[in-house]
Amino acid sequence: MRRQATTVFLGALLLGLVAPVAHAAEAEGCAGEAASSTEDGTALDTAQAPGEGGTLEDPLQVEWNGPIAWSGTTDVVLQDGTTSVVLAPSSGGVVLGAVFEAASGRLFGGDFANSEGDTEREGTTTLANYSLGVPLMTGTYSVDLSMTAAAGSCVGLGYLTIVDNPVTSVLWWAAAALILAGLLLAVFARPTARVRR
Amino acid sequence: MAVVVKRRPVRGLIAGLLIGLGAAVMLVLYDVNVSGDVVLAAGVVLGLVWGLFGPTRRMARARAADQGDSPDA
Repeated sequence: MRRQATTVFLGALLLGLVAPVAHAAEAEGCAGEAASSTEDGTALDTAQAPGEGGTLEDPLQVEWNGPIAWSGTTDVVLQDGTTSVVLAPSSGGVVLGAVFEAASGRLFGGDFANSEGDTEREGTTTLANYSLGVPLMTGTYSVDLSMTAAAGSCVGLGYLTIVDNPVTSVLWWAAAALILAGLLLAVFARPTARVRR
Repeated sequence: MAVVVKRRPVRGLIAGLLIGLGAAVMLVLYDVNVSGDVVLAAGVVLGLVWGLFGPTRRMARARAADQGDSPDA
């Protein structure tokens, strides 16, 4: 039940992020909108699809612990299908993109039922719901959504910026550990001179 | 008696890979618009160069030879 709710939420939320810019895929089979707020409730940003916001030039600003009000509709009733949600850094390149694709697919993707037969959903949530409240990352990411069922499908591509302090994120500490390990190894990677008699 | 230099390209490459990966993630987190692939490749190349041509670490025997002394003595 929780997984279904998660899937439906993500689908509707990300429908609101579908970018209308030329290099972003058009929304097909769905539409939606999202409004983000800071943790203390101050309005932060909005995005609609079709409409403004959620593009690479104007990504939806969100806080990891800030509430996001969302609503979305699908053209047809989608039931008993699968959702694929892929987050990738907007400038991360192929290697990091592949890592994020694998990780986000595990975190957000899955099956959905929609046994009520709804074509409209709305609600409020936070990204923290998916990470026990600990910020996982900051920066700008593309969000590639695909919902597929027997009756049809919904696809979209949008962008969001997580505006929290990077030092508070888990990935910052992981990256710092990688750099430190690399520097330590570099000390022992220098050529050595030996005397051969 | 000759001084032989042992180079460590694999260690250098791995060190560069770790630093490049960490730096690429940092740039993503700070929303800096630089390709992660370029940063990663630069780290690997610099690490390889470091392992091959970096400043030589002199072992005890080499230092002792310079001083005309033997560490085994």
